[in-house]
Amino acid sequence: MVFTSWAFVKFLAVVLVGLRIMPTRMLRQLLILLASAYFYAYWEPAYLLLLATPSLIDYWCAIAIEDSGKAHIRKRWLLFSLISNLGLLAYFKYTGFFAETIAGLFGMEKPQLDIVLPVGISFFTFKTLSYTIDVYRREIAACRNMWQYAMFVAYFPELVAGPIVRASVFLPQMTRSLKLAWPRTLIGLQIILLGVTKKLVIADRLAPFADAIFAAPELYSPLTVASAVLAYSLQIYCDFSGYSDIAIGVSRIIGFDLPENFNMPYAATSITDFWRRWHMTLSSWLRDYLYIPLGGNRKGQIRTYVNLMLTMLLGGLWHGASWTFVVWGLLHGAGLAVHKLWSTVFPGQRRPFRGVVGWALTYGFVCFAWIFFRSPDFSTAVAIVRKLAFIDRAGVDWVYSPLWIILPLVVLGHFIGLTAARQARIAQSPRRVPPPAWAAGLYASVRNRFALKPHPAAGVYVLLPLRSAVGVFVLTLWVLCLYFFAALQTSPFIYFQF
Amino acid sequence: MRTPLNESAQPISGLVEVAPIAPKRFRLHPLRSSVVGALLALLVLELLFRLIGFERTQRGSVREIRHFTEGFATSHFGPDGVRLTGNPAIQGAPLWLIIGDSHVEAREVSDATTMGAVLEQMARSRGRSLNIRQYGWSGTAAPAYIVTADSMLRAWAPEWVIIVLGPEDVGTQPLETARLWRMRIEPDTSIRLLDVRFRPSAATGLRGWLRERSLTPSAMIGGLSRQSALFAQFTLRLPQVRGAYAAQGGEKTQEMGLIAHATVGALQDAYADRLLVVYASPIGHSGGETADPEESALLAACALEKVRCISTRESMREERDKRFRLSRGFSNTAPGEGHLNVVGHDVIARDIWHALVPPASADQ
Repeated sequence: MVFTSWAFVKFLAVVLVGLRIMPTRMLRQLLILLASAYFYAYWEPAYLLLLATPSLIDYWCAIAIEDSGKAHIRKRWLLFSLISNLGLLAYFKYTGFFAETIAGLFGMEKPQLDIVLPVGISFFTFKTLSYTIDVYRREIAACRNMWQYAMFVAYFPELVAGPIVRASVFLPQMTRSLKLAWPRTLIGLQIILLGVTKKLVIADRLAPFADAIFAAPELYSPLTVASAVLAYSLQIYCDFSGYSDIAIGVSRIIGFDLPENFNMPYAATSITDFWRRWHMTLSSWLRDYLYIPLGGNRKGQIRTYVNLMLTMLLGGLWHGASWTFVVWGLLHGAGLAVHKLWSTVFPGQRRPFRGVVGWALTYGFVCFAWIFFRSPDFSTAVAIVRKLAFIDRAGVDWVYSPLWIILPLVVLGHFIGLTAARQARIAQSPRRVPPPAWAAGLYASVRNRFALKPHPAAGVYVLLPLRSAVGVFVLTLWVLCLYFFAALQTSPFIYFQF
Repeated sequence: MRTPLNESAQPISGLVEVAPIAPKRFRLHPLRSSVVGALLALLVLELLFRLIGFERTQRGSVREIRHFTEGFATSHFGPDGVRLTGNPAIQGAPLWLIIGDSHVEAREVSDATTMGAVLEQMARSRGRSLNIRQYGWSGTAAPAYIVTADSMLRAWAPEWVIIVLGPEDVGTQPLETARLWRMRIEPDTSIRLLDVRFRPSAATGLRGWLRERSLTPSAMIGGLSRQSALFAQFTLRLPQVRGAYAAQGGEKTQEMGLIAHATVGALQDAYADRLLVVYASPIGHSGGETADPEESALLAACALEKVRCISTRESMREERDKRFRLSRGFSNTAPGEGHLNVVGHDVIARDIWHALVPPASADQ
């Protein structure tokens, strides 16, 4: 069930009431496990078997790895876990892709395969893989409680579209009571509200326009196509970060703290900075389980660039079984490699193209890469690039007014978030680097006038204090505007397809 | 001897040193603060709605409606629901009627850009006197146009009656989901009209009462109707409409050709020789190279019943492919989707003109 549906609201209400009335922690954990099973089975009951199988395999593999004293036996159990997990993922996600590619190479007829991709398989596969690898590396102890492990794997807020939570983050939180508490509930509700706003008001408003242009780019003028690429960049960010916000908010209410997945990625001033802010749980996963094992930057410059390209290529392939995703990954790999080289040639403060220019180059590059991410095939991507290069200039001019209303709102949101985050960092920083006077003054003025402040328990979120008239005024207006401006037709969360 | 206060820690006999009193900041109890904040937000929203003024009656009997969900336009309607063209009527001039659903009601475009207004301007710029009356009832289909035929013909004695149909008119809408009137197709392909007009209930009474006093809850109720999607299905859920429909033997049929034939035949009986059927083709940002099944069925039915019929498909496709103008969609909707925009109304008007006016005199 989709987070922005009434079915999920009813489901969540039942879960929260259940948590309220369950007398012990164990019963509350069991409730969450059963709710997670129901949540996943809602799409297709048979999927539960798919979720249970690798979970059981990894549970026993981790215990076997930990209990075994011999290195080669430990390695075998790890390999078994890797092969079974990746084998399942490969079968469901990549069989059709490889079959079509081979058929295309040899001029054969495209095979008609009827393999349905289970929801969230990429996410929970990575989650369970990280568990067995961490146990193998002796970074965490194997979980000996099957129900707690099952709850970790199936935990419904982040099961189908992340954030990719590691066992080292989640399992220690099993000691929490999971009793509902009003302060956490208020924080969680506001984070959920932010996520729902991003999804229903921004992402779903931009989706019809982006979809129409990407379906027939040849028909539209270069400026219209450019605005569609811009719209898609906002759509995918708000869609995915909105989902993450809802997952984090729901978890906050239940009593678990999930890692942040986005930190204002479009404020990045370099492609490396972008990947420290975009889908942070995936990028850290790729870094820790792919890039570093390949050698990272420890085997010379050329090997570092190769490792970056390879990591991002596989990262692109993780997103989807299509060559356009591979190209998207390669583009980002190339971007990271170029930035690495640039940083080597121009280290530290003397590096050119920082600040606003760096931001513009980064955002432009990211948007260019999104063309391949979004396009259904290469011909569409090429048609869009031709339009952006003004090679093909004719076409319908279409000004989509919601885009030009949403864009300043997103910019404003980033500005508030950046200054709030900066103020929070300054408060914690021993060096106390002062902000520019105009930023500090503006932020103080906004904060004092509207009682906004970064909430220390809420991470990167700026929350409204609910014990003041101004805070409730803004919140009420927000909820009502959400009601009136939410898109009438919602589209599925983009990352569900991965 | 007086000792200055600031030099002695001891109170002077007869005097008590009093610390300065800090000014008290006025603070409401948190719960009351929250209530005040929420009420203020509702007030701001109410003021905003009143400022925008979605619908109002002016000049005694003309209704003005401001539309925002698809395009941004202000439309005016006369007392009998006629969509005004913004052009003054010419005494004694021939009159054409345009009848249809929301595409003729056209709340998304301004008065001067509706198909009727464009036709009037085309005629008058060529020295011909012509009056247009356009009636659009959102969510309706051919049954409603048939029911109103007698009264329309008697009231206006039009030279031509132009009925604008779309793909939904050749589907199951006239049978299942149309507002006001639906139809059942008899074995001899004649139709039986079914009255499904909405009867006021307590809910509509409440909404009207609220609307007179406050726009915010009224808009929220309207929002609920939109949010629950498919306004056409809204009437189907009401028990009294379901009962009336079932009592009159409403049945479904999926045979498109039968629906088209029955529809055209009934319109021909109602409007006789002064009828022109216009198929407003759903040309979006792609497609349209061949006729869709609905268009084919309608044109075939018109040929069989010897009714004048045109399709706007070729004109809209040419407008898109050669002049890069889409006939549907607005600045706040996806391109090529939804109701007819200014270009769409212009295309239909020109097609109607070329269908009804002989070529020799068309461009005089």
